[in-house]
Amino acid sequence: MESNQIEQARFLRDRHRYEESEAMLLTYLSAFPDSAEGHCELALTRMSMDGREKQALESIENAIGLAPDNAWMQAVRSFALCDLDKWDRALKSANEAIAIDAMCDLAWVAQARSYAGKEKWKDAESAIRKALEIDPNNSQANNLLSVYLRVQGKTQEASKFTDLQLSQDAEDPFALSNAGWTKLHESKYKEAEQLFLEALRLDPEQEYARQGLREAYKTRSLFYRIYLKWALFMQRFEGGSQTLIILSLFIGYKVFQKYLNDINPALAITLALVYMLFIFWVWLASGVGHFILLLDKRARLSLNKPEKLDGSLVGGSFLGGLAIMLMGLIPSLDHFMGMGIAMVVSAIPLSLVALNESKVGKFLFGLFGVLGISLGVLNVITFYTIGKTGDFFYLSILIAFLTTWIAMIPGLRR
Amino acid sequence: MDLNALQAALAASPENVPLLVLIAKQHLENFEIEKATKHLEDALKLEPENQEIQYLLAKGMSLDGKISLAMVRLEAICQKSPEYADAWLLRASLLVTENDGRAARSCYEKAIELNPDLKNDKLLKDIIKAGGETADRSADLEKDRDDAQFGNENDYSELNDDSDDIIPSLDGVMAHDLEVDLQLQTEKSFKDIGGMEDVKEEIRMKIIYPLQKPELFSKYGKSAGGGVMLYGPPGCGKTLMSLATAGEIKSTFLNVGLHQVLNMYIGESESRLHEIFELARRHKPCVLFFDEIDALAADRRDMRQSGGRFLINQFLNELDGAKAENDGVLILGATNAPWHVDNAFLRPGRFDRVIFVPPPDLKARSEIARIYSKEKPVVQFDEKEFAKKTEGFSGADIKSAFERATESALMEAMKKGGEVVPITGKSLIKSTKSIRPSTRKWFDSAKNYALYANQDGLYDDILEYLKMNK
Repeated sequence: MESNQIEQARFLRDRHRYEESEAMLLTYLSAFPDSAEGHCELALTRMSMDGREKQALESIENAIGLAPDNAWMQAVRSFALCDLDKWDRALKSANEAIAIDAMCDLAWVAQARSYAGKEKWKDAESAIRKALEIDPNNSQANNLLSVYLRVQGKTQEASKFTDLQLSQDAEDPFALSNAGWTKLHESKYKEAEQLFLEALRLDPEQEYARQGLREAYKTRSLFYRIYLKWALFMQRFEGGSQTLIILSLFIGYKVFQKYLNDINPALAITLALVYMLFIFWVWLASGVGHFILLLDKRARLSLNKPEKLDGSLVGGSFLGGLAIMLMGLIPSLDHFMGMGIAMVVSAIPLSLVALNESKVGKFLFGLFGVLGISLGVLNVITFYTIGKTGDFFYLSILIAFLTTWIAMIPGLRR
Repeated sequence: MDLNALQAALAASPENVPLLVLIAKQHLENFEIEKATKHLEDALKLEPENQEIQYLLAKGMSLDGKISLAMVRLEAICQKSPEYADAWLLRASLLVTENDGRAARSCYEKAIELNPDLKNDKLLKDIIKAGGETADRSADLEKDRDDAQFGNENDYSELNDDSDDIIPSLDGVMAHDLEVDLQLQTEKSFKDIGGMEDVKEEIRMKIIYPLQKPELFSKYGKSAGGGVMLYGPPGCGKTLMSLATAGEIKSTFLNVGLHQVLNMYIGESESRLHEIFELARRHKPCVLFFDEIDALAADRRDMRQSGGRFLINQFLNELDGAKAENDGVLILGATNAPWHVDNAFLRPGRFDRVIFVPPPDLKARSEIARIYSKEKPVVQFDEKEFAKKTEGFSGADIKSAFERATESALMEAMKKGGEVVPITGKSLIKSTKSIRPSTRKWFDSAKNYALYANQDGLYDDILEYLKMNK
């Protein structure tokens, strides 16, 4: 009777009937509250349900409380913690699982996922290779190894593993997505697009593939291609190294600008503009990319509602601002220049609205964006009422810079 | 007898059938129906043919108000053990509650004939009051009961006396044991569903006309019967549409949910499924309706356990009619997630016709609103206006809007010391603003399937509904 109920709960979970599976396990646990297996199954079911990550963690902790020496359950706890972005605790749990049973491949996969969450790609690669030593046919491990190799820039080796996986199962959507991402790294955008479409044909709800398809579509714009190359290049470094690269770029820019200033001040100004655009572009690329997709009848379909909103807000503000700035170059309309600048810079806080997971952050940056644009409008209004612009747009620039600092607070992004 | 002592004895001897029956009787006397039923079901597992247990179960059901189910069980007892006087008597008393005096009288007389001690003047008076001055012998001997839910005269007209007449009653019990809803004649038809004309016409073309004019359709290479899958967002009337389809073709309707197949041990699921198909085949023409078909016909790639695959293979076998003919059995499946159905089920001869049931249209929403408003003190209510404001709402969402408006009116009524405060059309429209149509989430998922996995055009209707067709 006991195993029958658990069996049925698994049966229901396999059929995507998570609520019913959960109800069955809860009934089972009301009769057998000390069943570690029951709690573990409940955790697995809850891990498949949207927004139930915390309860999944509670369930697996209940299971571990009853069976503390079970490596598999420890590994499941590590996965539950990964789902909550609690990478350090996830790593600790994965290590405990390995300490209990070093031959448990799931424990190594959990460790790899924890390292990947911390962007420690080399460690993640090493852990996943251990999992593959134990079970060379572990398709999840094979796919993850391909991911970790690719983000480190080892695209050829990544391709080798993806091909291996696809030779075993030509209809593995994750492997197809991996192949697509590798093609993106190799700047083979058309091939990448086809691979993502094939992955989505097999699993239309796979976010990894949809994200890749969007990136492939966005590369139709030259600016976005440059940005993507930069983003993929940066991805291969850990957090500290990334900061070091940005800092070096800043120092290099300063030194070079001083050097150019001595030769020709116009060149120095141009460099400053290019540098500013580069800094801004990191914030705006995604939103402007979404805006570009909005203009494409076919590519538009790959966007969900928040992404469409992101494209409208960021693209509208940035490109609309640029157009107004151009208008401001006409001498009789130069009072519009401030408004154009305000709109361009306000795209920065607006880029943190539609896709922001934090409600507070969404509200705060939305407010900043609206305030920034309003100040630009006020600039024009003052011109028409008192005969001269109030230069309020400087405040918009200040708000944009402030945004780049405040946005570093994790609580305002998640 | 002390119940505690009996239970202590049962703990020592849990498979003692007389003891189980004795305890159940005690519970019945105390009107503890649930406890009695549990003991009786335990006893029945040990002695499935025991008529006394069957009788006591029927008695429990009658005490619990489940008259139809009790009747079905009693009819089976009377057919199998016509000497069981108590069953006839109980049947008589239940027929009185349904105002079938003549049938009740014949059952009563049969009971007294078998056991004169059962004479009951009060019951006899009630029978006479219900029109049972004389007995209707045909009621119990020549045809079985024509309970509205379980049968009608026509369905039994072809039965002969010796064996087949037993089948309907036994099938009623079987349907009950399988927990499936068996309706020999459904009262619903397309007239009972407002709006949704496009879906109705599609069903007529794909299901009803081929059954009515098979020769014409066969000339075009189209056959009647087989399987049709209805899919669409939850709460939008797929089940009702299936029931109405059965009503339109005047067939038996057998409603099967996921748990009616999976309720028992997994190993038994296949045999339950087979029994359900057999039941449908015995009641041709029959609409065999599977709700949540995606769970029973799940994609085998999602299966981690071989047990699930056995059930799928069994289902495929039954659909193909490998063991028996399915002519005259129309198999309908409803699902919210057609993408989880194994492709093998969509091949010709299985669920090869697929119908999209979208959220209720303007007319349907107006009709649903009219039905809900009938039950409540609603004033100044324009159903059409309400329907316009509820685009994308499912039937369940509309019900929820009514409930919210009712709660507000009730709260106000309580504040006013119990004076009835009517629900206004305005408050109903206001309540719709706080409800996010539940169909949106479904369309978010459906959109991805329609965009990326629509090679065979299965989801063209979704694209059309979302106005996304290129």
